[in-house]
Amino acid sequence: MFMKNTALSHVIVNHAALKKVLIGFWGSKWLIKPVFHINALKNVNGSIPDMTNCFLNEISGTVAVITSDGRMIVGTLKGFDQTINLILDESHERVFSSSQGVEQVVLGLYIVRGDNVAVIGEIDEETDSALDLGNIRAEPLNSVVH
Amino acid sequence: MLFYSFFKSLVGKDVVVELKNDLSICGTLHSVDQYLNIKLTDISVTDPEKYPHMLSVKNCFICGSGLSLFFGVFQWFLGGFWWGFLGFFSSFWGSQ
Repeated sequence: MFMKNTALSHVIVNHAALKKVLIGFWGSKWLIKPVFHINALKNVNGSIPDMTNCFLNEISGTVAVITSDGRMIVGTLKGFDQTINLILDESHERVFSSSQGVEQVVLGLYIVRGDNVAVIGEIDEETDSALDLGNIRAEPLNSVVH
Repeated sequence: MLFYSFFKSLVGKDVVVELKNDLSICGTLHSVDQYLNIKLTDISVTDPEKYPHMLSVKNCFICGSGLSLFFGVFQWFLGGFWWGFLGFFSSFWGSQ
């Protein structure tokens, strides 16, 4: 077995943290699985990386949130937290339908619970104002939950 | 953990992700976290005729819970078959 793509050489971040744990005996072989110690996940200063600081760029910008039931809500992102609960100001829902153009339902100040968020998109104001919403025909999005 | 490390190695590459609501988004993988939430930059929807919802969105954050498929770049793995094999079985032994 050999490694062709060297981009994978830093997948195993910390060799010392990679332990092997015995999980059983199959036929005549010992089965061993690799286990990552929690230290492999931590940054240099000991904090576990998470994504919420990537929202700091989007704060007070316009975002489009797609919820788990397939709704699209556009608003100004005022705040967020670890569990992706969001505060959206001046929000409106864009209802897409295949028979008529996009309907914008004004909602105002909303808190969206993180459980229900599927996608958060940063809206490019120029492209968005150039969109002719009245002429867009599309099926509404499906819900994320099966 | 295993897949988190795998996705970390794919940062910077172009990927296509399919969500559970059948929306397919392609973009450059910017970052990933332990919950497999991903952030994509420079996105485009695979089928914009059917899904014009994201026309004005350039960068997006996708919740890991909404992902169903993730298409990356084919790579050879060190210890190829065995890593894949163990990764499959390790998912049955719970999280660390």
